[in-house]
Amino acid sequence: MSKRRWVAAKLFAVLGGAGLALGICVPRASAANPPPFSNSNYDNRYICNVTSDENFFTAVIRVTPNGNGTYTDGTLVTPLDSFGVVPFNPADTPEDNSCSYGLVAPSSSYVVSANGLTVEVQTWKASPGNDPSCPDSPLGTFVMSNEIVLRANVNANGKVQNASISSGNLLDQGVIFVTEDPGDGFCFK
Amino acid sequence: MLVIELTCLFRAPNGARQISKIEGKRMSRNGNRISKLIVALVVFGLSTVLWVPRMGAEVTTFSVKNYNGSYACRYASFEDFFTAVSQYTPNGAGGYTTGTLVASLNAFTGFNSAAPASQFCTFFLEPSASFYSIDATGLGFEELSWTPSVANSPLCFPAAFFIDQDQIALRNLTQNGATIRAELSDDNLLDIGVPGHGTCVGG
Repeated sequence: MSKRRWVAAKLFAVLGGAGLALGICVPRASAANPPPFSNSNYDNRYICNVTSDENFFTAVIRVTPNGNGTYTDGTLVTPLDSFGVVPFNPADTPEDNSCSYGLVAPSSSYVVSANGLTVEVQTWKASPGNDPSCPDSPLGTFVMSNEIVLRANVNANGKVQNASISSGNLLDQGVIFVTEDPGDGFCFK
Repeated sequence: MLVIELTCLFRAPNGARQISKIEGKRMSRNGNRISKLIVALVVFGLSTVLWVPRMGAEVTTFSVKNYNGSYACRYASFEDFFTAVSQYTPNGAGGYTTGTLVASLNAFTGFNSAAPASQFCTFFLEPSASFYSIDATGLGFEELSWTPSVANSPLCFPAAFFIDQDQIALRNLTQNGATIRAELSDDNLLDIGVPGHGTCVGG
């Protein structure tokens, strides 16, 4: 009886130890997968930090590509005083000192190539509450196209964790100022 | 070791069979205790591994709770001419506990060979006049009120209290429920009145 208990206790300890070791040591979050990539690797939610014109124009973006070449939704926010009409007013709320845009999902798409290079076309619509000095406000739209490259560090579900962006027409400045420098940035899942 | 020493005390007068019986009982009792201890330790260890929030947990719905703890940030504005780093502690409830912003004095005057500490301008966060919001999608805004250090060089700018505002986007990867990284568009860094950008990394 005593011997059996000892054997059972040892077995339990060995199994428990193995479980602990697995729980602690096995990487959970990510694995590096090589190409080929497809649209399904660019999926779920990404936040991006994009700038243009020597980092003068800046924006933070949240987009939700759906893994099949289109998007569920997205939001782009930028400082209002970038546009040279309304100066920063510390008495205003952060929301009032910003311009916001919502992604027009039916007019936006992306295509991921096997090597991870991806073309995005995003249509952004100005929010109703924007100051009129925000680009295309009120309620206008602009099209921004990005060339992005997906990194190979996908998570356990095969979703890319981050990407680098070369951006064209961030905040419609490429149309307003023909000589506007293109933008760049990065996105994180 | 203790088991062996205790069983030795019972060996002298009572005969080999009795000693063997007592030893057996004690061995069995101690064996039971040890196996119970092992079970308890293993169960505790496994529960810890399984239940303690870990790096890599993904959030789907956000709130101010997800911006919580110590973050190290870098900022640049006016075509990256003005630069600064900061450390601050959003409290998970829309406010801040502490914060310090340090900018390069070199943006305002020529660099010299004085001690490094005197080459920078330091500002302290006023928590009572600072706040942030995070919506369900993980986007938010923050207003940060900074007061210059009395030790700053007279060439530092600004020389008085100023308000900085940011648009922020949180990554959905969290550690103990707090985002590991936030991306920023900055407005009025160092009271210059021009836009900028930055990143805050948690931990």
